[in-house]
Amino acid sequence: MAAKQRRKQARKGRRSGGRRSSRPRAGLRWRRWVGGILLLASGVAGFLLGQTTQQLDRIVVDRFEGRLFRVPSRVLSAPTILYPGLELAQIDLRATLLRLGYREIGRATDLPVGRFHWGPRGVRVHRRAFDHPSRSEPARLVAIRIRNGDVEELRDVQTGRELGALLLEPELVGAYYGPDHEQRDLVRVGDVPGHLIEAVLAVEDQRFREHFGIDLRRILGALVANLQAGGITQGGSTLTQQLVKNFFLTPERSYRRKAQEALMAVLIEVRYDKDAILEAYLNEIYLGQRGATAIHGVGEASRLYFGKSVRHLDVHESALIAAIIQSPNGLSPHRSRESATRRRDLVLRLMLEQGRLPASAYEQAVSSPLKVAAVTPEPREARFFLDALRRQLPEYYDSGTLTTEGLEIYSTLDLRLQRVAAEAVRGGLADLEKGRPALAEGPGTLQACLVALRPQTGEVLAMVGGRDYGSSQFDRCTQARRPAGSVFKPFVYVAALEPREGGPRITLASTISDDPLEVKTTSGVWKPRNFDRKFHGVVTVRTALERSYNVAAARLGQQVGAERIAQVAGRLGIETPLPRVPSLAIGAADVSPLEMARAYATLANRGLRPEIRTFEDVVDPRGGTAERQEIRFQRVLDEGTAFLATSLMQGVVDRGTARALRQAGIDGPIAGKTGTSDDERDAWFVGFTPELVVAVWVGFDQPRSLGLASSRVAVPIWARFVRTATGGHIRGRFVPPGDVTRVAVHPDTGALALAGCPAQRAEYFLRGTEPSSTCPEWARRPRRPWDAHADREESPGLIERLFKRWLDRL
Amino acid sequence: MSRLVVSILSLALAAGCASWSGPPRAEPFRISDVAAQGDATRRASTRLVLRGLEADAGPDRGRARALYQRALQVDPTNPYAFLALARQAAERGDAAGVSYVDQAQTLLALEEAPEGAHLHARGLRGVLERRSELLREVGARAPESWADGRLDARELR
Repeated sequence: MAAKQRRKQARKGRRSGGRRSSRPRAGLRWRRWVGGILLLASGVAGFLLGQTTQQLDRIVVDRFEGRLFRVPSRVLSAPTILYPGLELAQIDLRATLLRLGYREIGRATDLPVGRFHWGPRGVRVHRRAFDHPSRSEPARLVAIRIRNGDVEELRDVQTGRELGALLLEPELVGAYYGPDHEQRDLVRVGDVPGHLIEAVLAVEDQRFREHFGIDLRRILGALVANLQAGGITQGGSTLTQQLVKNFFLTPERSYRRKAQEALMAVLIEVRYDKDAILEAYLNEIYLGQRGATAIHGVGEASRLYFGKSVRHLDVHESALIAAIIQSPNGLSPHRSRESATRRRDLVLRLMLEQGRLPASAYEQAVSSPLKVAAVTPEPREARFFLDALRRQLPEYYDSGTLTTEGLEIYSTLDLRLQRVAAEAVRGGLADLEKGRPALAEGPGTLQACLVALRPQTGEVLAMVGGRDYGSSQFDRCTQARRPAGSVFKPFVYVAALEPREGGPRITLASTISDDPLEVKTTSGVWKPRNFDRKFHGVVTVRTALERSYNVAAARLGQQVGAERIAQVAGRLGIETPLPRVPSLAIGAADVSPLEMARAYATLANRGLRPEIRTFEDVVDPRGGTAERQEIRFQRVLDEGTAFLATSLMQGVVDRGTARALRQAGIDGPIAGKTGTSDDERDAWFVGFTPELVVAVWVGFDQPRSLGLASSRVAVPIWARFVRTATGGHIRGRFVPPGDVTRVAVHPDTGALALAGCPAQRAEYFLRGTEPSSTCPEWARRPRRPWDAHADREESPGLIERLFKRWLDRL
Repeated sequence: MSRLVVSILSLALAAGCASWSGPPRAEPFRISDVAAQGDATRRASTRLVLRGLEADAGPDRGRARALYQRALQVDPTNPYAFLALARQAAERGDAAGVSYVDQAQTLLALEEAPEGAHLHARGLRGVLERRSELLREVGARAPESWADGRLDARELR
């Protein structure tokens, strides 16, 4: 009962007391509210943070587990090869070495890798190592002895061994960039020298190995420094934060972005080990410019500044790369050697102070002079080739693959010839416009294209698709189809000369009428005319082609038939469908300069048609060969006929419409054919030496008259190119094959010239097709031993062959 | 008289034996035999072919092929580079390699190439086109290299 009373009183007391202290009760409620709100807010914040963290984590994982970097594929040239006997002017060795980033130094001893010394009697080069799955070459110190401008001897300085040949690394031709136009050479952290890593950590993030993505000590230090300075003078970002900033965030400066950066840095540190983060950083960091291309990562920076692989960097070079991270352009050694050296020395001192570099190594590094490789901008001349190569690469190398996969494409391009070709086109067109100002006026720009092939392998050595890639990317070598005009005529002659059942027996000495001709066609009567508006009566096949007579060619075309001409042209390498019309015989067909070059290459290659080859192999970033383009050809014409066509075209150069070449002082074995389309709207010259086929076209994209024949338009450009390309020395000769014989004929009638014939010249014939008529007419043709076996269609015996050879010599 | 008969019989026998011994043998040919021939360009190119054959004799076929291609870069008219490419194609059973034989034969015909080189080209054609009559012929005329119906890199080097 007493207890009951006490409880009652207590309740009463609480009630009265409560009334007296109502404020504390309200405060409690408020606190409860606040607590609740805080709890809710922290719950929401926690939820949001969790969500954000999850979201950011997904972004981090997606990036790290997916394609970390987009690496443009690069295209490299064919290597330069030096050998005893080589004329140095042919390769322009000094320029080649400088383009490859080699540095010329004054002393010949202790030559570091990537340096050369040019002495009075020779050159010493410390060639760099070159990595390729099948063409690797070690670094090698070589002495090149020079005599009278030729390489006399190559010797490995270390072993004292004489070398038969020395290969220099291929040059960079260009790359297939994505929209960001970045270039990087991906490196693995294991391949990066320890001193480069230490240099980067010393200057960018000395507690990288200890922190968890953010470095609180460094942030506090930066805060104090900034407060003292009254502004932001120091950043507290770790490598991981810098990586986050570059990978995921915009350069915006806000607390939100800073918080995101810190959170993502922690997430990266939780998920990935330090080496993975370091590797990503070393490949991502921006380190300068090569022209318009942004250089990212230490691998590419090493090539840019020192012309070598990152693996071969010295301590002081590593320090320089680490030094310029802060401001790659401001501190670039290409811009200011002094400030770059100062900053490099600071990095070296930091390395020493932090115990990352022994004192002896520090002394050596800090006293090393700063020597950077020459900047080698990507050649602009090869852009058309790069486009053509991209079109020839197998289908699965689509644009995305080429701009991201980091493939190395070893092309067939000879960069020296490419430069010569670009200069020949540029200079040739400038000369033309200077001589005929009307060409520079009016609508459109005068354009040209030049393509050079190696006939025995089908390799494209040089290709200039237009006057200026910057203003027009249309490639006139591969994408344009232009009226061929007379450059098509050799196919007509091949179709006529090629032996076939039931076909006409036509030889180089056969005669054709160049008198007026009328051909009925579905669209009316076609009356071909000659360029000089004259008719020349009866002429030999040789004269008809040498002088490029249209009427004679049209008549020959009538004998052979348009179908057969088209078929022969197709066999030789013309892939564009051709019209089966009478005027096809004088080149009424639109073709591309590249296919024309290929068809001529088939003739130069004695009837073996080469496949066009723009690259040798493609190497993937793991160092494996991803694709290979083999040398391939197919026999499409007999050797004898190919030789006869070549001989005809030699006449074009020696005596005919392209004799301007000889007048320009180009000697040596050259065969070729000029071509001028109707109204002189297209000027062509396609010509070849035993080792080089070159096609030149000149005209306007919107056709209009050039007012000049091709001998004054295309031939000079061809001459300009070949003169420099061959150094004035054209190697090889056109040798008649065994089934071709050479006999004396009368130059006008083509009859076999015998004693008493008033004039004669030597002519080639397929064996058994020598003329039966004689000059003088009354003379009897002597019967020679091989006539008998020609009748028998058996091969001649040794005696007969010797006798024939003796007679031929006579 | 009997002496004359014996002589005639001996001569007849010798002639018969000569005709039974099959086609005349060619001098064995290796590319190193022509390494010193030609101008400086050809010699450099042939040296690269020889280096390629050295690699070909070992496990490094890719390097060998690359060296043959370098040889052609120096001298695209070198028939021996095509011969070496043809040999490699024959070894891996690549019938497309017959075009290398075409090219080698075309180029060999342009110069005073040793008969043994022509025989190697014929033998390689025999392998690539599976023509037993060609293989029999080169087996008889160049047994040092072709007795086993194939030409290895050392035999060509």
